[in-house]
Amino acid sequence: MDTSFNHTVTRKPTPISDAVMGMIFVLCTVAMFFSGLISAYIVNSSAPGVWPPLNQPRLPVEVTFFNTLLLVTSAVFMGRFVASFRAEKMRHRLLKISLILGTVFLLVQGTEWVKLVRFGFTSTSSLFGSFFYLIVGAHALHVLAGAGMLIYLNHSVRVGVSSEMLKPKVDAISLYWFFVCAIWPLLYWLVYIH
Amino acid sequence: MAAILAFPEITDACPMCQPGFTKDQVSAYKGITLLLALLPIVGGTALFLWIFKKYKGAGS
Repeated sequence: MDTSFNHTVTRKPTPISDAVMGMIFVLCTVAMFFSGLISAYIVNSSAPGVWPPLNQPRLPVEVTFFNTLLLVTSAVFMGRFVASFRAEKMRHRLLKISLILGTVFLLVQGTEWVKLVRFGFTSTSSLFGSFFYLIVGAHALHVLAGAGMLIYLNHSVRVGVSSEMLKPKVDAISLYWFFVCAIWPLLYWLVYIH
Repeated sequence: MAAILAFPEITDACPMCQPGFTKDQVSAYKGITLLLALLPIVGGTALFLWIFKKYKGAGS
């Protein structure tokens, strides 16, 4: 009786990797989450009266505009990295630049928040303050998670993980990064400008 | 529809159907209701079609 279990089950490669499929489902939930926040903000901002409420510190629109450009540029560099990876001429520097720009975005956002808090604009100072920190804070947490993923990807590239193993990671993480970079201009326009 | 006909009081649950809301608020509420209803349908359909296309392309 043959009790050996030497046979291995080889799985047929699927057109969409498990990592990408999983990331798509994550992004679907994140998209609905931000849709809920945006919807609540729109309904509350359309209430009678002045919006934003009076006596609020002026938001740093200009600084955040340049910060938005940084994040969009980070997405562009990520796109170029993915393109170079798929062309089998991977340029690691592009990934590093994307990570650095994303980190700078977070640092600038954090600095501006500290200034706003010092001016008395907090999550409990007004309804607008609550929405501001909730929406912008939720996005910042997602960017932080994305930066963590980029650090992991950067490490995988640096230690020389094979292209075959790297491909699903690159696809999934780049998808997430594109999403968080793409949603920020909408949130910026809604909260800072509209 | 049958539930509304049987229990018309449930329409009182609609927050925008109460007096005191402005036209802007009602418009905003209708807009976001439409967004939140259509987004998963459109997104889900697009995702399904993309997955179908990928698998069909791989099959051929």
